[in-house]
Amino acid sequence: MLNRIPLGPRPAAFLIGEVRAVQWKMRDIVLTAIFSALSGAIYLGWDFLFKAVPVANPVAAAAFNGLWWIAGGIVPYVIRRPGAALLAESIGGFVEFALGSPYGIQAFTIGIAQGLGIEMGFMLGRYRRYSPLWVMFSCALGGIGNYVYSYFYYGVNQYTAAIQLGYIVVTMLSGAVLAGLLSWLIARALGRTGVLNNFQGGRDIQPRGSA
Amino acid sequence: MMAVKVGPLQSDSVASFRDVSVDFGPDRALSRVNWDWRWGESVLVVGPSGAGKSTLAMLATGLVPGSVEAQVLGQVVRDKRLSRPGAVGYVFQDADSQFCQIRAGEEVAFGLENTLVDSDRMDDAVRDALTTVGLAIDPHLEHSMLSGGTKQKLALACAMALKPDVLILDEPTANLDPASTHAVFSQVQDLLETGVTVMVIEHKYEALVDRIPWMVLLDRNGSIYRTGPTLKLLNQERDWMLSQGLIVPPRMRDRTRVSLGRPVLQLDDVAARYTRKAPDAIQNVSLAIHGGELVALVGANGAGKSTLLKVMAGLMSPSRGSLVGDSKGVAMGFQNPEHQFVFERVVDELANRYVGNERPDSVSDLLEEFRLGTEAEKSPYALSQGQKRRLSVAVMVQQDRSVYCLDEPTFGQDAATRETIMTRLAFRQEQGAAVIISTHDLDLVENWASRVIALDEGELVFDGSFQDLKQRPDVLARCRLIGGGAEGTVKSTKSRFAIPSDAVKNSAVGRLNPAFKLFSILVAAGFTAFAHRLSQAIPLAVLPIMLLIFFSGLTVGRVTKRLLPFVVFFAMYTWMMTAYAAVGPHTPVVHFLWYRLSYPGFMKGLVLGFRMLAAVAFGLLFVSTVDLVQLVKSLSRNFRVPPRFAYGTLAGLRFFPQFQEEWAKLRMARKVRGREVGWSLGRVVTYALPLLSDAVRLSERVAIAMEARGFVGEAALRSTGRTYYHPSSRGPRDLIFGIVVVGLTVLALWH
Repeated sequence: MLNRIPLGPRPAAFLIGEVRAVQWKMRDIVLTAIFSALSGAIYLGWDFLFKAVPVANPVAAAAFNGLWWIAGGIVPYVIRRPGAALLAESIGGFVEFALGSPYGIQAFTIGIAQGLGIEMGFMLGRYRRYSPLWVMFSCALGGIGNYVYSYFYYGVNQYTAAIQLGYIVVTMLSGAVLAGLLSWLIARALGRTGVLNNFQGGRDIQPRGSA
Repeated sequence: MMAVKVGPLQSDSVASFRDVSVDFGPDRALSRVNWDWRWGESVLVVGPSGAGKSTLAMLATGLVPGSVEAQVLGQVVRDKRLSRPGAVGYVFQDADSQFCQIRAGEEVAFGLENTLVDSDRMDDAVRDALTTVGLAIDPHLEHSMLSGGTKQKLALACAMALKPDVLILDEPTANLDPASTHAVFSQVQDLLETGVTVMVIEHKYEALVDRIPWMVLLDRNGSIYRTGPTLKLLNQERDWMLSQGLIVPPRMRDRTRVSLGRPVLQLDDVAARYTRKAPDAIQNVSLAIHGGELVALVGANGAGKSTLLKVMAGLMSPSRGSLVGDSKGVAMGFQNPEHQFVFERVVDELANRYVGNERPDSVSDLLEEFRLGTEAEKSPYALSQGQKRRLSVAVMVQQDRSVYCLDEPTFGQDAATRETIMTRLAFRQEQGAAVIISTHDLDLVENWASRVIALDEGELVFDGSFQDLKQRPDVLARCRLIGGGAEGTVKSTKSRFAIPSDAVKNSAVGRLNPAFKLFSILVAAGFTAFAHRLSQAIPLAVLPIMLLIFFSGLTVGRVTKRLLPFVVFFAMYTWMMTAYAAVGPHTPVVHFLWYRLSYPGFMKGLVLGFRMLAAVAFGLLFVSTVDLVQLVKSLSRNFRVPPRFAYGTLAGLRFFPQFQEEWAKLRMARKVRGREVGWSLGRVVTYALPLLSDAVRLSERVAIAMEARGFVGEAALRSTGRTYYHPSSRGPRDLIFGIVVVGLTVLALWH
């Protein structure tokens, strides 16, 4: 076939056993950037909303956390490429930071940490498992990335052990629902419109009226 | 069997097709095409919507299969010359989605970078390309600020900079007003004389028939019906073109018999603006609309047509003046039909409720009339652009209203569809309603409108019949309804991306290499985790603030203004620590409500607050002194990020401001349908659909356009496989900055 882009070295290429998943297409990259930038705007809104809600208990506050890594759920689900969660969360965090997040440059770095967590999940599925449960599981692992980062930077290490345990459990549940389940719901609705037909993730979803 | 071959070094044909069919999944786009496209034969490709015109062009130039996945049957032979990067120049319909940089000069240079043009020669090459297409603009101008016609000329410049052998123009004027269309077409004629072989795909081909010597006619099934000299084919194939809906029989409609009904809308000295601080988008508009009128709103892009429609529909309230409407209300159709879709199936959309399997007769009739019968069960988003527009018009006209406002209802439609839509609107008009449409299509105005209102820069400049308008060349020129007038190149003066001021750019921090700066700042910010005492945390916050004030070209006032809001945030963190920190068994604790407040907790909270201030200040130091394009390029150049990822991300981020505008439009459109449909939690997901499906399609278009501009192979995969427009700014000062910033951070922690 003519004009096929030759395979070249790519980040995360060593992580997987299958060639199919390695090949990022140009549209995968642009889609990642646009979806992540939109998510970055949501993150910023969440930064301020979270501030406005008078929750001063860290465990209760942790219930909000999951939405902060929704890009890491929806982008890998749609494009299904190794490194998608990490790239999506890095861009999302960067946009949140650049738009003026109260977390400053840490909005970017925590994004990377959350993305790494989610990436672990999809890597464990060898970049072949994208069922709703697996997406939720991966996004729950994003909560571990969030916990580790917050442990060092947001004083979570100062909390009592019970509060820390509560924090990580609630954060992971929040990630599974707000990042994982919500991503899956949105991607499925999007897939049913047929617009995802040219993306790996869209091929699993039966568009309406095509039966 | 698929076979795509690259031909001998020199052949007579750009590409030749033997029995070629192209399928996109289950859909056949081209069917059994046999054709030799000879060098020097500039062709006009004409066919109804969905006839595979774009596919033919992409197949000839190698974008199909490859950039666009498809199953190709038969044999395509392409001349070897086309394999040279930059051999094919491409201009697409939507000017915006073929750009992937931020400023005009960078955009032209993107192709030059792909074809390894020497950095030193790029400035000249960019200037030459802009001159070739007659564009006298500052290369540092953001292209989002350019007018529609100017954007298309810039796209032409990008293509011409690569000295292409073949130039493809895929509906380049679809979004333009008549004057800009004229300007682009004249430019195309000039380019023809340079010897490039051109293929033009156009719905509005009339103006091109004297300029493009050859013609390809495609039919509804995606087969080539006939090829030959343009004028000959047009003469001989009138009947066929009628049967394909490419032209419609001339209609004799007696507009004088329109009987004016009662007044349904009265505007008195109305002005409106989008935000409190924005200038008026329309002003001093006084007019009365009566039942039984079909009013055409005309004017240049940005003249205020859409604003006036929104005001009439009651979606925007006038900032001045008064508006009196009829109690039956106004129906509004937006430019982007997707914004108004609220159901998952076409039938439900038409019925305006979920109908299950029982299809009401009225809905079946509408499906039939608007030729949507086979699409009834599909998602509205899955339709073609033409079908979407027909659906949105169908949804709207079935509502019983006294006024119907439609923003460009026939945009991008072939003649037959235009006819369907206008017939339906005229039916409402005959029933006594008022119909107001905005349009650039003067034929449509002549054939259908009983009254024309022309706007220019937000003011009403003409109100009368089309016959009278034709006698007013001054108005026609002013409203860009005829060609020849001078076109303003710049549409808006508001840049979408914050560009650092000269003071910032020339400051010590501003001149640093962006990627190295990011790296140094990340390391420094990373060290803040090790601050556990107030005496460590305070200097960490002071360091970036000092850098901001003394070395970044920002004023103290600006720095304060940017940092102050975050103080509230840090106070909250301090409180969390005070109340929840783990404390030793003998620490005094104050009980307040159900909280256990402790002094060590308070101190830990303060430390955390200052650490966060440091993160924000370090962040501000980076964001306010960096240019996005430079950052992306230096990541690729200095940190070996594959250009596909670096440039692809930039291309995506570029659209962010556009989505903010889309979001505002979407909310307005939803206001119209939302009232009718109600609100539920499930809507949250469907609310995201218009934006996200737009984003998905945009990604595909942008990716195709980038690859069409030579962003393939080494140029896209390896940072060393391309050249760079901007001079490398890497120097010893980057190392010094890193050492100083990281050194001082460590020092603050050490003491």
